[in-house]
Amino acid sequence: MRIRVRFFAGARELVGGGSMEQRMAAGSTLQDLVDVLFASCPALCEQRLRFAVNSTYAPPETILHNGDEVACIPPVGGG
Amino acid sequence: MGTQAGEFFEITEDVISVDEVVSRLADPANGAVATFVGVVRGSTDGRETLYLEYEAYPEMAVKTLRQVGEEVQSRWPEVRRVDIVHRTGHLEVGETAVVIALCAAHRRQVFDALRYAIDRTKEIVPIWKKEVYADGAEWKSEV
Repeated sequence: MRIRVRFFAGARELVGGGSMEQRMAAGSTLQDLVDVLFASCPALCEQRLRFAVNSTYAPPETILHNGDEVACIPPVGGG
Repeated sequence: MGTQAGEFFEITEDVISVDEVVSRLADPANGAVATFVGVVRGSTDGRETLYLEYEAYPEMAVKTLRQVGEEVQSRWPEVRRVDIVHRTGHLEVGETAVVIALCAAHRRQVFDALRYAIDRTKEIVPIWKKEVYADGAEWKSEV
């Protein structure tokens, strides 16, 4: 299945782009995807990231589905 | 008491008019309108700020701003409406980054509700602030 991954702020600068597509095996969890991302860009581990699936904060055990959008969210700083 | 019709949660690259945000809350049932205006500060920890760059995950930011509004109204049912507008992009020192406006029949509840709204916005809304100094830049967060 295909997952769209989006990066913001410091995470975007680290990976050098705002979004990418990642292929994952059916039944993969958010944690599985995060493991792939951290393996390809180890510096992401230090970003204190939270993750969102389809625009909602999601726990690592969340099951992903084809076409889902996962966002890597560094510590926010609005206001 | 009752809730006021309409709501307004927006992420925009345009200059924010505080008057415009407040005017949307106009309703004869209101006796108190409280606003928080967040502006770009000229220095942080003694370093002079040249300008700020705000970035958002717009779809999720609007959704979480709406969540902040819902949380406020469930904690303070007297609050009749909450509107929040946050700007993104390049902001100069002194420019308005965020406006939160809320209203109620009486003044008593609006202050606590307003404080909660800005604190919660800073905590959960996916917006990032890069402070650009003469000698570098840094993504800033309080969480």
